[in-house]
Amino acid sequence: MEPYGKARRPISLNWQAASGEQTWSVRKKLAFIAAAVGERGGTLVYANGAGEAEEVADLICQLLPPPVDSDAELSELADLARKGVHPNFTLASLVERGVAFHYGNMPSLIRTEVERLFRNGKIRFLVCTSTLIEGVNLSCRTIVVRGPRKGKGHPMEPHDFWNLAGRAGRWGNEFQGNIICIDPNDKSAWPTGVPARSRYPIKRESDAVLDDGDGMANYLALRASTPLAELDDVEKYEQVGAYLLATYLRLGSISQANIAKRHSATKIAKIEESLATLASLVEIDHEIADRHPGVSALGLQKLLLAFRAYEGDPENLLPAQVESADSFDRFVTIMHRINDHLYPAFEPEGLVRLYVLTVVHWLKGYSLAKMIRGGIEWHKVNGRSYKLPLLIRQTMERVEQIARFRAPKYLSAYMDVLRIHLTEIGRTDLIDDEIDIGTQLEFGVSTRTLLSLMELGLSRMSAVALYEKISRDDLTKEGCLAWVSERKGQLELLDIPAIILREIQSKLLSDGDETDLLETQ
Amino acid sequence: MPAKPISFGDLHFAKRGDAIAFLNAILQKYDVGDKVSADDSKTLLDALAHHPEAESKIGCGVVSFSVRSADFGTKCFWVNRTDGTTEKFSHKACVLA
Repeated sequence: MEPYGKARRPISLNWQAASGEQTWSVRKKLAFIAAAVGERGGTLVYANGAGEAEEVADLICQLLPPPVDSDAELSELADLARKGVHPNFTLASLVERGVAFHYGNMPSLIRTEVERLFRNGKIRFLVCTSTLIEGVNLSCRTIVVRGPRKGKGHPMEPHDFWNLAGRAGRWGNEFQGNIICIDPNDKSAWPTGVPARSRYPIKRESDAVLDDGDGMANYLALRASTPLAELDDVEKYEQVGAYLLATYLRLGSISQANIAKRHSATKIAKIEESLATLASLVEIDHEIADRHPGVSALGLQKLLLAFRAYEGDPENLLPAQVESADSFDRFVTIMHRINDHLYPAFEPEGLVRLYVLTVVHWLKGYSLAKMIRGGIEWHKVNGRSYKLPLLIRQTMERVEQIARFRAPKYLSAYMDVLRIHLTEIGRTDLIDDEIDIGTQLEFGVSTRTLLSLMELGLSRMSAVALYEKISRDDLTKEGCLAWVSERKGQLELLDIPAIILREIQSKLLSDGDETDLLETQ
Repeated sequence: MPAKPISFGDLHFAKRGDAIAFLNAILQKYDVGDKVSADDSKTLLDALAHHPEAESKIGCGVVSFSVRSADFGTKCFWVNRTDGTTEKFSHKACVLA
């Protein structure tokens, strides 16, 4: 053994199934090997995507002996998955047997509990996705990998692979771990082989984009005059381009910005030339541009021009109260307006109504479980078939990616530009600053009570579960605290999952309050 | 067949087709989710009186009109009532009844 442990040399397994390669799907292979080598627990399995993670976890579970007895913490997590997502959400039956999956669009309360129970060894197998590389701090005893991809399709970069592989060998007080790479010589799994261990410089995303020849300069040169649909690699260049333009607007030049020091003067000069042209088209103040990172000031400007050209009643430019009958259609029009003028954020166009439905339900404080039930109901009423695991994943994805990410990002930019316009036309009376739409969307709340509960530190899942029991919509943080403390000892009588009760206790009743909500359980 | 005139309040149309075109033009000015302006609402209220189900469409009373989505990706006028209920109606039915 090496003196400092951490002997992380990948073990390679060339797997040949006795009955021939074809009959063994890649997922089964991953599951069989993981189940065979990982029974001691602390076993991470890397899957490419949420759907694969669920499937591999299910396959692993089938290979394990039946559990001897149940564990209270695992049962509580299963209960939370059933009540918080759906009675048949696969995670529930898997965690009861010590297997779980983990991906980014899962509700955070469930995800952090999965992580905690993996760390304490109760979940023995955890099938994860690239979410793990993006900021989840989780170590393991053994990691099993085959042909890892990051995001959709791209082979994993060496530094990401070693970020992942480096998780093995820091399990409790063990300093040695196993990295198991399946089919290391298979080019379809590992196009450039298993990455060798060495130091890989960490590169900023913005630098990586700038390093790519004259791509950035060319993109910026065409950005103002070309419809986005006709430009190449918009996803790649738009964010960094927006950042460069915002920097230019702030400083009047990018030559003194830090990013300029890491690239050739010729390249920076060429980019600067395009930025000067773009900046001459933009009236938007740099402070507004800075407030919306990743949203191009040019898009903000185009939206402002669209507002100025609007001939209708300016009140119709604002989102309608979420309870009003106009709310749904108003959001449809606003999303189309954002797509047309600011950035095509809500595509494909055919899904806009579905995106709006998610946003409206999210703002109304619907629980994830309720949104999933609604989706199932819609399929039944309209005679459409559906697959439950996929419907659940897609609902979670729309909540995370549309309601919690894209909608607040682009709608808060929309509102800021609208505020400029309303000020210009002397209609500041229309501006209502009670709770801004970005905050409402990020937290998924439109009432003071729900927002107060989340400001007190509850996850949305817990806040919504508790909110169902509170009749008033206008409670401040103090009001919420009073409501809870008046009901000490009674909350466990309500049908609320234990993990949620525990969170309510730690966030809302912690100040020297010894009464245990769960003591009667 | 002789042209049948129709009037919405002070607005007189020599042909029913003209009335439909007039209401169509109002509808097209709006995006879905828009509240109809006070002026246009007045016209719509006069038009709604000609609707074959005027009484039930108006119900307890009209607060405002909106333009919202209808079936198959189209849009139409909706009446918003004093009790918070809302219902769509066909502006063509206001003319052709």
